[in-house]
Amino acid sequence: MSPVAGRRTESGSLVASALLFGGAWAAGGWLLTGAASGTRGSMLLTLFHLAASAGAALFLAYELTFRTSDPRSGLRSRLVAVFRQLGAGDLVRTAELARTLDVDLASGVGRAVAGLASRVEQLQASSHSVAGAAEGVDHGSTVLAASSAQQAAAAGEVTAAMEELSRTAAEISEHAERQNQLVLMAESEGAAGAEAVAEAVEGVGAVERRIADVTARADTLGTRSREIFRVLELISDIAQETHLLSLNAALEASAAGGRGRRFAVVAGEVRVLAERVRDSVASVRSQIEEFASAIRSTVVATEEGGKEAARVLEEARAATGALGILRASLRESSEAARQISSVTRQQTSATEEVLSTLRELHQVVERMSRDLSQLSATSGRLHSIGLDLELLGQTFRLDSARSLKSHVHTWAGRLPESLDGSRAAAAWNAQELIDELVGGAPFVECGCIVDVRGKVLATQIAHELRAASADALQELRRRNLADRAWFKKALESSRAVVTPPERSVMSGELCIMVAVARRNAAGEAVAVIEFDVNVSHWTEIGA
Amino acid sequence: MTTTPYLLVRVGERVAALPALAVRRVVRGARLHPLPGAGPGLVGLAEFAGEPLAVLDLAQLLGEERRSSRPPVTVVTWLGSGSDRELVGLGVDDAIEVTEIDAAALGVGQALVGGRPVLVVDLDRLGVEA
Repeated sequence: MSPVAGRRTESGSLVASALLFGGAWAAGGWLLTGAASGTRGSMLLTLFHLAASAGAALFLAYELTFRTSDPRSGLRSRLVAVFRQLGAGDLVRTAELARTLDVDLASGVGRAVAGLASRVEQLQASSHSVAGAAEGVDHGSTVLAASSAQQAAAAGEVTAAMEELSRTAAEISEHAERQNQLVLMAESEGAAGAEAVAEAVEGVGAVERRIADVTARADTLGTRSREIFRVLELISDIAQETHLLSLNAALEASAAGGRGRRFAVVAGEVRVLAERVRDSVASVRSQIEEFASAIRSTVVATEEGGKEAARVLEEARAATGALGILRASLRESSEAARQISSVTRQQTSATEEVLSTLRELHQVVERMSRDLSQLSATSGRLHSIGLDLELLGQTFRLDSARSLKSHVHTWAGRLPESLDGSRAAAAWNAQELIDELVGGAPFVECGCIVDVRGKVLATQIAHELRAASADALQELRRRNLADRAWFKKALESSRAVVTPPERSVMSGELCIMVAVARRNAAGEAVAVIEFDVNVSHWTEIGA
Repeated sequence: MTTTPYLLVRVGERVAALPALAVRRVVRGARLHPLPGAGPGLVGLAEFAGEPLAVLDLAQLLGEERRSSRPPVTVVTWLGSGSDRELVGLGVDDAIEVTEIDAAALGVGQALVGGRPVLVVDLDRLGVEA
């Protein structure tokens, strides 16, 4: 091949590499624009810088192809190597190779690489923010959707309860109305009863007055009877004296002999008359005594009747008082029933308004719940896109603590160049190294060191997973990993390889696998080191 | 037919006949003054025509039981005969009438008056026994 032809060939490779690099950035820009439409404001600036970087790369490729013509120094071949590394996204290696160029070129390429690395870091930071914010929104909207679903259910229950309350209020109003009617009827009956009791009281009062009159008359009769007794005593005494006088007259007549015979006859008649008077007095006394006894019985009976009448009168008055209280209570009850009916009707009206509002609220809450579910799904997709962007950013190897590839290259550098015979190999302990690396990287779920035949030399999992995944770890130590895609790619490539996310058998969460081969001075692979990185812990890379 | 006037008196359940000619007066409710240490039959002293009068209980003199109350009627009569006679009071329950008793109807201490038996009191003997 002639120098010109060789130069043209190298120039063609440079153009192709530059175009490849520019196309890759254009595609990345398109992906970012489409994916991060929700965070357009924060991403536009990054995309602008990416587009500018791609333009700068194309301009550099043009300059190198058509204006660089130094055939002596093999500059083109070094440039090709630089752009290959650049095309592969290994900005660390690109910067290292750029330092072999001329000072001006090295400076220009170094600035371009530094600018690109800076943009990629911004991209990573932004995708972190997008993924974190989306995750927050996703979580918040999920919680809100659940809450609003609960609110919708609660609103439905409240609506049902209010409807029940409305029905109950209507029933209460109806019952109160009926009670009011019953109370009015009772009030009417009570008024009639009160009149009847008043008449009874009047009648009993009249009876009591009559009884008092009878008692007074009976007392008068008793007094008169006693007076009659005294008169009878007087008559009886007079009769006895008359009897004695007639006896003494008869005695005198007897003493007078024949002359006194006619006087004796008169004295005998007087005596007979006195005896008849005495007998009559006894008869009258007997009759008067019977009469007085009857009067006394009448007085006693009348007094008892008077007491009974007084008691009945007292009870009737008490009944009148009780009826008055009852009627007052009935009037109050009627008023209360009317108020209950009125208030309950007002309440029913208010409840209907509340019900209407509640039904609208229920519809709004249900609509909000559906919207929140959609928002949750959208934010879930946004989170996924954020993770994709993060993964895209991690395809670059940067000289940064946030670069996964940078980490694994550093860690692979701690493996010896030879695993057999050398002093370094003898002093090296694979398990200690992997324990240290996994324990020191919180975003790593699992790590392993595998020899070139796929045999697992050492493996370890994150501390928090050891209890639950001890069996899986033992199983992993026994397996040969030669058939794994990352293993094959890592053996073929001098750079770190990154696989798409898949679900971890350890934690059940999304993980990506990052692997790189340790190579000796001759470029031969002596081992592969691999890490499962939990995408939920992106933010802890380089933190 | 020869008849003699008698005063009929009631003594307890019985009727007694006193000779009317010996009787001076029938008194009701005379004031009696009991005598301390008096024997059975002597009710007390009363006043008659300004003189003290011994009053005897005819029932006890006729052998009846001692009564609880004083006799309400006093018959003032001569007891005994001749110079031995004295004026006394006889307490009875009641004085009934003065009646003529036929001598034929008179038995020993008894007579029939109106068909019923009457105790005829011999005032002379009653006074001796008293």
